[in-house]
Amino acid sequence: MSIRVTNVQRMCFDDGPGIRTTVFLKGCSLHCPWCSNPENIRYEKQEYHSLSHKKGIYGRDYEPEELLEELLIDRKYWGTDGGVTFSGGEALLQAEGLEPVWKRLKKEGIHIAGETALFVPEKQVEIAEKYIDYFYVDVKLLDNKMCKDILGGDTAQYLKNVKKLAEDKADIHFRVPCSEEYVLDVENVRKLLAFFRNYSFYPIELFGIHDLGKAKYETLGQEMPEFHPVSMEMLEDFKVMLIQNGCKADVITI
Amino acid sequence: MNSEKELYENKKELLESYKLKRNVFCSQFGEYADKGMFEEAFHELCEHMEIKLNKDSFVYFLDFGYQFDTSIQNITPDYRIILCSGIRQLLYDNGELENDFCRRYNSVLLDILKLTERIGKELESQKPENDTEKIIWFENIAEKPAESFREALQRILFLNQLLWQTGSKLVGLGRLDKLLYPYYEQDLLCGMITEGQAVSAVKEFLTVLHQHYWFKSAALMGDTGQVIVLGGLEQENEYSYNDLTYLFLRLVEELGLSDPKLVLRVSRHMPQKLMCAAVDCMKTGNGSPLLSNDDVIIPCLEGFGIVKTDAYKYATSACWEPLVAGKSSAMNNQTGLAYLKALKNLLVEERLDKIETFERFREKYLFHLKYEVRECLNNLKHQKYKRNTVYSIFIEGCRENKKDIVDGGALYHNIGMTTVGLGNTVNSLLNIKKLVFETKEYSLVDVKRMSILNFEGCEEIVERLKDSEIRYGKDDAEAMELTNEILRFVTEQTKDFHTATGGRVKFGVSSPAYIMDASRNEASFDGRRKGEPLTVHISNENATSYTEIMNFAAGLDYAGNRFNGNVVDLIVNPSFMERHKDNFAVLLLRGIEAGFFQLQTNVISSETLIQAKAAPEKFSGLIVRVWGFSAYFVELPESYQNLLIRRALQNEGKTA
Repeated sequence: MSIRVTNVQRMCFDDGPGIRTTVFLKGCSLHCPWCSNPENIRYEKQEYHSLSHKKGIYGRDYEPEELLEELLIDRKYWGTDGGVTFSGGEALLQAEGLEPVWKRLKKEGIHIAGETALFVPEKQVEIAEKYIDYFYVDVKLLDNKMCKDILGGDTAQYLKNVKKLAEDKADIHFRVPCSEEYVLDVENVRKLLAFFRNYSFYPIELFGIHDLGKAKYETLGQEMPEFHPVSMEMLEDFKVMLIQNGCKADVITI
Repeated sequence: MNSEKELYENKKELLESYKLKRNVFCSQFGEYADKGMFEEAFHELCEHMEIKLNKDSFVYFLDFGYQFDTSIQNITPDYRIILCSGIRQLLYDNGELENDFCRRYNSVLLDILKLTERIGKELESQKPENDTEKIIWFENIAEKPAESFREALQRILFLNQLLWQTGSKLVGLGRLDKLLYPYYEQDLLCGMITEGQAVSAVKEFLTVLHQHYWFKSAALMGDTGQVIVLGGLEQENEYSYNDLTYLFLRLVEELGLSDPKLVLRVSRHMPQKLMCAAVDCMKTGNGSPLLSNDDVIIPCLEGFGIVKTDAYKYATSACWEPLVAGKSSAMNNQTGLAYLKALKNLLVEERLDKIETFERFREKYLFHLKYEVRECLNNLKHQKYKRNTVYSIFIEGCRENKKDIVDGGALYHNIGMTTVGLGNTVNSLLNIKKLVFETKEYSLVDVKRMSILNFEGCEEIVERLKDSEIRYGKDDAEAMELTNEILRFVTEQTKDFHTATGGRVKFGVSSPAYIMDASRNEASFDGRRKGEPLTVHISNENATSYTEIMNFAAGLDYAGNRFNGNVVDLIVNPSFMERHKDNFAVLLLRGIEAGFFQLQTNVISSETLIQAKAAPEKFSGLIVRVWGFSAYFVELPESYQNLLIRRALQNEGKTA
């Protein structure tokens, strides 16, 4: 089974411990309005026009061996702490196709991280947790109606998957993309606090959503939706609230 | 405008006026200097030069009225000689004075002694700060080795001053952490100085060397060659460093001066903590330290025939060229090979319609390259050097051989040749392969026409070539193979060459000529128009990660005589560095293991550079890395400023 990838990015320092190579997989089960990787939302290949009017295609199908070969070029820089991160889009949506790649990396003793929103069927979580050493799990909108309307996801499925990962003792690191309008909305904050109280054992990284994806929207002939950048003060306030609720939270820059 | 810049720009006139003033009371000097009578001129210098003392902790002065003409430069003396012995102990016995070299050697040493006596007397009469200590230092220097840390620093400065004063340029400082550590340790142990006092002394030492950088600058402002080498393998698997290694890094980081510059010898066996300290220094953007990878360089030096124990003692000359400090007269930059010239000659001189395959084209390229190499060797063969006897006293081999440096007296007297435009050539050849021989969209005649017409009327191909992947500097197997083939070919053509004194030639891919030679090279088939800068060392701003460039550098074959400076040149965004300092240090350590040869950084943003160009008065302290040295951005010619801005923009993914 081939794997649909938009980019293999080498020398990443933000996607897990150490020095890593990150694979951006095409296709997502959500469509977050603040998404900074719009080229990874749809699974279908998409034509783009770069700012210098160069045409290209987002999305390339790799056979597992081919992807492995490209990944392993930078193996010597990973050491024991670094490795490969699978991001997206939704990394777990292609779990079946990725399984041979993960299996091989695992066999070679390479550290594997996955960035997921967990809005995927349980079966895919089961495959992933056999191999992934380090999960970044997004926490976004927890009200089912809001989540469905704005992101297109079912919170019941999400919560079930989080529970499963936690029960199976996966190494979870929560990531919360914060914006005034959405995630830090008063109602959602209340739900987030309740959620995190159940998972206070795991570290939480808060970050403000940014408009760095703007140029990518333009290459697709789209406009990036407008939103208010969240202030550092708001992020810090939320962090303090989380800490006061017994959680381990930190503000990061991406 | 910065006053140092004004001084440098008016250097010629200024020095002329100093000469005229000097002529009033010492007219003979000019005559001797003009006739190349070094010793006579040196005698006049020591008798009459103005001794300037000030409040600094150390004595260091230059008299611009006395200007020597020597070609002995770009090397590092053996400071150990002046540290471990009194000057009188260096004299030849009278019985040996029939030998011309010995006579000249002794006369210079006696004049140095005379100068130290004059300095002593001036100290007694002027009584500047710490005069008692300074008087003792200048008394001791006649008969005794240096006895304390501060005295050792003073001796190094004194010899350094003499070399600059006698016209040598790009005077290296050698591996000072190792050289100075015994004095430092002993003084601390016996309570002669406190750690704080040692820090102040090194700080003043660095500040003194920074003074007069306008005078010391050679081809560009900041091109002083004042390189301090730190750390390094002592023997296989044993990396050596000490408190002074950290101290030099920390002080250069704090002082924020363009001079002196640091080279850190690195190895897979070095501690991560030291690399983190190096990254802290780099992070300030001052361009120091350049990293020089012992794991790659030492085997190359040994392979070239340098004795193992000497190979472990290497330093670099002004920028990056490895040489055995204190034992080599390896004058570099004596001639330059332009890779693109051979390509131009091929296009002009061959029947292009008869070349049917890329293999044939590549062979033709190498054939034309052979003639370019020959021309360079011819230049080297006929080089004549003007001596500086002071240097011959402080380079190992000359005393033993009773021979001046210019006559091949140094233990090693190999010679360095620079090369430029390899990246442009490799990229052009790969584009020709693809577009002429594979897709057959253009003929070689088209390529020739485009080059001659500087792409006039065919703008679309420039865009296409510029847009196409730039493969030199990426881990692209074909680009690496072609690069290695060309490099090995140059070795083949140069390996049997010997200079008049028996030295051999060495070269590398780093070059100071990427702008100077730009206008001399026609437009090239990598989309570069005539006059646009050539590739800077091993760099590629289109690479998506530094690992691509490091892998490329690690894949090059530096054996044979190809070790004369091969620097990966990285532009690093300051905010990236701020966020990822620790990981960047780890990345460098892994790059060392992978096997890059050398690496230097410009930690700078396009925004700062653009602002500095527009309002230089607000950015007088902004340091950047050009060639292989650190310099003040606002003091560089506009072409260098523009290139840095362009590269910074590309590095940030912005259109230049």
